[in-house]
Amino acid sequence: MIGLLVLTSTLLHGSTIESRSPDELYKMGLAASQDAALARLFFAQAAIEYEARWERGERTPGLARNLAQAHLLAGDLAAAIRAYRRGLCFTPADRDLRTGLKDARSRVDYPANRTLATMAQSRFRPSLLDRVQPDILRTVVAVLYALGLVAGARGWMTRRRSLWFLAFMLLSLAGLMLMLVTWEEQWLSEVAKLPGVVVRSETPLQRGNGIDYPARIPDALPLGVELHLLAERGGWLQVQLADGTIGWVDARNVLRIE
Amino acid sequence: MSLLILLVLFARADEEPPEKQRMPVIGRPAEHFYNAAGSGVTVMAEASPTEVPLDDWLTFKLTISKLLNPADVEKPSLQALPEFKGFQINESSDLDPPPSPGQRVFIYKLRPLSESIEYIPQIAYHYYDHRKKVLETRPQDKFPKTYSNAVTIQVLPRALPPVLPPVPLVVPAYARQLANLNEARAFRAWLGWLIFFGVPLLIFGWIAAWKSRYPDEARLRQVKRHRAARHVFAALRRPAADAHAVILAYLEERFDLPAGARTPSEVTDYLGSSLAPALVEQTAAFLRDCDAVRFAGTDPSPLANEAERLVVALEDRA
Repeated sequence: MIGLLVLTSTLLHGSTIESRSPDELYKMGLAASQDAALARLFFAQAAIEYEARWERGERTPGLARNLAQAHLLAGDLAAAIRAYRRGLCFTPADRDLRTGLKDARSRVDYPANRTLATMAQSRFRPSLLDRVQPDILRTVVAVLYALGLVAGARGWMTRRRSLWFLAFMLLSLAGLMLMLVTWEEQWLSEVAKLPGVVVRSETPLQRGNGIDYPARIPDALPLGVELHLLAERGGWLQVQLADGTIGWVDARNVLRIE
Repeated sequence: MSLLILLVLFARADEEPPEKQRMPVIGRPAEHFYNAAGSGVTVMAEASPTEVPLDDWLTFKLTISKLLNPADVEKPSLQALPEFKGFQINESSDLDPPPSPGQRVFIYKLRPLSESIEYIPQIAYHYYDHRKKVLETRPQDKFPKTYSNAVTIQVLPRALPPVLPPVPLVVPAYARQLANLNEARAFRAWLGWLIFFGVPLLIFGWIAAWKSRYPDEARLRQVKRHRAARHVFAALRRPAADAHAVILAYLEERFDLPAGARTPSEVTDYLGSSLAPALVEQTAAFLRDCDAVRFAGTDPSPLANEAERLVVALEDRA
């Protein structure tokens, strides 16, 4: 009923769905969430608009988050995971993106025996940046750096050793914190390299690049599994699961995160 | 009796079994002939169901009876017949039952492509009638033509999917909010470089301002020395001046002597790190002399001269 009202209101205002901004479409989807089929239409259209912005070069963590959420609510899990991963390529420690990706990963439909889930489920390594945003840490570093320089200058003016010592401590602390943030971000960005996402359910992982090869693992890969891409040959991709298992999948079944 | 048996056998021999009969090639029709042979062959068509929604399939059954060679009869291809253009046709032979004596049944799956279709067309069917007596000049008359009956059907509008009650979409709490795309959340790299280089520049500016307002280090020291020395000499020239207190005040001002350092040993400890040992010893000796005079109750005036000499020595060598 609410969905019908939303649609009616859209039509009465004389504007088509295509002419709306993606944020408006997303909010209309939220308003129509009592009717999943209708809401998904709005979210799917919002995802198309966000995707167009991304392709135009407007690549920010915020846009990646909105795009991923729109895909997720439109029912396209693989595209949602890809959008989260794309955003994390730019800002590996973004907390919103990591929260969303964690939820999207929990929606991947692994077989009930959990063997494949253990092998293929990607997980985040616990990081300091999960608790504190890197921007906050960088701001603290900047403040410590400025205070250290002020203390040093004042110590130089007044020849007070205590100020020299304070300046040394502040600058050392700022340097250590900067190194820590940089190292954590570097590590997280290394993890985000070369990923692909399975876009078709029941995708077999095979021992070679062809359907005649035997299966590497008994269970087929469900939609949404993330893979590391190692090589490509004849329309087949050599991929690695989270636990290090290597096999081949049909390239048409994998969405690459460029 | 045996004569009767012979007569019967003779009579049956006149009618050759169908598989033995030779079907002439001359006069055989070019179309609608499917190798059927018999006398008075009939073709009956049936459809089930006769009311079918658009795009749904119906079963079309073609029964050919009074055949002499049911196993040899070919299945008519409806796809080749222009009358059946309005149908999508599945004529796989897997659908057909095995031939039975004198009869052959063919099954088709038909899907009407338009709501305007009202019947399944007749099918023309030639067969070979070996009993028919014909003129030698008209061999084609040995292949009479029959027709199946037309089957009336009704094509209903496309069945609409059942209307189900709407199902709500579960939206996670975090997905109820959108990121503000106009907000500059990220710590910009240029801001980092600005702080890295900008703060030192500000510090240099501060130092420059400080230096313009206050003298530089050497001048400050000189000013400080002159000022401290002037204070000492002025104080010592006052009547009943306490040389001990004046020298301690001078040391506090000039060398940052802690206020708690009062005894010769404390003063020696403090000055030992910044002055030459001879000056330190001279200072300590003066303070001991002051103590001796104070506790002996003698005239302290000679100490003023000694104090002046000490200050001069300190100012010269410090």
